[in-house]
Amino acid sequence: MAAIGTTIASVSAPPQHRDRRWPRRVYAAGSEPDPRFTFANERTFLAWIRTGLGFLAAGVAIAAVARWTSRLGLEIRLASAVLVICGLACGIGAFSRWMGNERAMRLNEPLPSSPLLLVITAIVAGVGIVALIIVGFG
Amino acid sequence: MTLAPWDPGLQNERTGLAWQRTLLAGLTCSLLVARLLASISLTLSLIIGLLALLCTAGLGYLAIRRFRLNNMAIHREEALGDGRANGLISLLVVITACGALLYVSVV
Repeated sequence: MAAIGTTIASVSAPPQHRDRRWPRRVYAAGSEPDPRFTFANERTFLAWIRTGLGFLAAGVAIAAVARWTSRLGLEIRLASAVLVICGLACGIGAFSRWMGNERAMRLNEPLPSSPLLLVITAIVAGVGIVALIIVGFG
Repeated sequence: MTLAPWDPGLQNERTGLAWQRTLLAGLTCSLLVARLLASISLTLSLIIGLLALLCTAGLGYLAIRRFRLNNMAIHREEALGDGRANGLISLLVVITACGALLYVSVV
């Protein structure tokens, strides 16, 4: 672990060449954080992307499977659209959260909170309850 | 160039694997969409399937390159790679979502 300690100390030194990394909103601020935290932040970003892809696949699959037997009703279209929009929110939220976290780590500030978790959980719970009602009474 | 792992937590290796499974999820998702579109338009389905394969191959190359560059950077105690690949992936998800919304509202 001693080797890691020296690494942390030396990466916070200012770089010799001009920093061109994108986005500037992140890299223009603060100093290099511990690389382990940067890697962890990147993995969190990728996990959100996979969640978003899962939502997209679920949304399209619902519409496609319902189409096998009959024309799509409004409720199926709505359910698919809600899932796809969740996927869209995860895709956009993944990047904005990654940016906010990376910036906060560079500035040595606490990590920002985000409404994404709450919104996605609420929507999934809502869709689940509606699906339960449709399956139970349909 | 082979180097010993930089830390006992294998941060770079784990991040590389996370890229790998994200790309696999993306490929599965887009091939599923391509297959579903086959009943509407075979041409469109083939185009989307081919695009998905090309995108995954390209991003896979980027991910391997990113792993190697980051590996060298941490050993030399330089700064890590930036957010361009992240932005690209997010953009791809947004484009796919727009395609999916179109599919859901048109079929």
